[in-house]
Amino acid sequence: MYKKIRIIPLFLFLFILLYSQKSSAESCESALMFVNKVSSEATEIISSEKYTKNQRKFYFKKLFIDNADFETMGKVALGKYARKLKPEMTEEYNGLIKKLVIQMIYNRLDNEEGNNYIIINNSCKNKGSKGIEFLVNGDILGSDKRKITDITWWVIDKSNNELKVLDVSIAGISLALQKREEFTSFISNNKNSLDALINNLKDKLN
Amino acid sequence: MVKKNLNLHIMIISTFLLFTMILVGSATADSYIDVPENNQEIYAVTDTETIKYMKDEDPYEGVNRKIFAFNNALDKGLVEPVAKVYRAIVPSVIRLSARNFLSNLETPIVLLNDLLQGKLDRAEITFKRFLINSTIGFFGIGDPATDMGLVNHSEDFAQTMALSGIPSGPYIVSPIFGPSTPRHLVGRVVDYATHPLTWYLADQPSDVRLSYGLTETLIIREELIDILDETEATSTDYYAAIRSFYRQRRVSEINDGIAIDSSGEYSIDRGSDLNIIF
Repeated sequence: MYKKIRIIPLFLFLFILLYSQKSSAESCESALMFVNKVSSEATEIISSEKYTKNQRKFYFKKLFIDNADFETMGKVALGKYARKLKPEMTEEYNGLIKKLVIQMIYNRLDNEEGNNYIIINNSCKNKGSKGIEFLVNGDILGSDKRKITDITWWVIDKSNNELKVLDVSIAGISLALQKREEFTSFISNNKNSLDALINNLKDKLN
Repeated sequence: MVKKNLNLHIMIISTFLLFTMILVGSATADSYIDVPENNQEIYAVTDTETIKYMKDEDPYEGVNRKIFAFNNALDKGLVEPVAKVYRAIVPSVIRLSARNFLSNLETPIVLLNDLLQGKLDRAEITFKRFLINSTIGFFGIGDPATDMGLVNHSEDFAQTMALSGIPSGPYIVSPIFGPSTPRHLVGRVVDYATHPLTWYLADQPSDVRLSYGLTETLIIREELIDILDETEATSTDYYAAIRSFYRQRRVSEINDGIAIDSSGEYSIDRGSDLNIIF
């Protein structure tokens, strides 16, 4: 009798372990599918000949507004200064981050010579310890199908299986980390003022 | 003549090694055994061991910024305009051929460091690429090896030192050559001294050596036109952006392009990893 009672928690533990691994694998698969969808739409927009340049930028912007978590991205970029972001500044700052990041990703995927890129995302792994973050790795290929460089997507499961892009790394260079280093350097060289950063971003983007 | 050049190379390497030991030994970034409590560091996991670099560690920032400003002025005034003219005049297929040729010339260094790092599978790819591109690829102008699935990769002596556990030392900006660390500088000197092309050019007239150096600079600079223009246009702090580029790029190269992924590292599970509050 007592042996049976002791075995039950063990089975429960094994069940939870196996279920969580299965869930984790399913979540990773969802993240991979999500990134494939976003990246194929992004490259289709950029390489489309039926759109004008402004139309391409418009649809690209819409794609990322729908699929990226700019609020968290913005906090990552501020680093230790995120706690200084006052409520009245948040909306303006988030708007600027949105504009900046979309412009940067678009510029890195677009180019003057009109090459068409293909992004093939081929693996996913879990990140962190709560099973809500994923790293999806892939390759950027040129129109001649040759690999140009690597791409890595940091994806987060916000809630109710709503996946969002948190960061994109191209050729090993993460947008979020780059901006974090820039912003924290700028703020610390400007008397720890977030206002100075926001004004600088406004000047750059207007 | 050869003996004289050999002595010169040995002297250069010895000087830089001594310089490096002094600089690395005194650098605050060398305390990687004792991790500070407010943990500003991130870790890149490699095949062999953990490497760390201080993401906000730039103890010579004041001097670095001045040298960066000098380098930037030189670039804007001379190098970038020439690179843009080169891009405008020379067709893309010829520019690509030039890049392929240059990349093929770097193969001996890549192969040597593949072997030093014990990466025999990568060494095999490097060797095959060199054979194929030098023959079918007509002395490296073409790159048929990539079409055969043998993808290019970079290795250098600084990466070999990184994987051996030698710390990078602090971030420094060197005049003309740009972002670096003491380890990377030593690595570059060793690469230069061990490259067969160095020995060949040592016996050539100075104008040949100068022409090669300038051409190499031009080809590399042309490749970077778009990314640097975009970065400068969108960055709030161009110096910090380039520093971040350099550091991240080096970590990626040392890791052979494998994305950093450790539990709790840059994870939003715990906001403290990123110094933010959720």
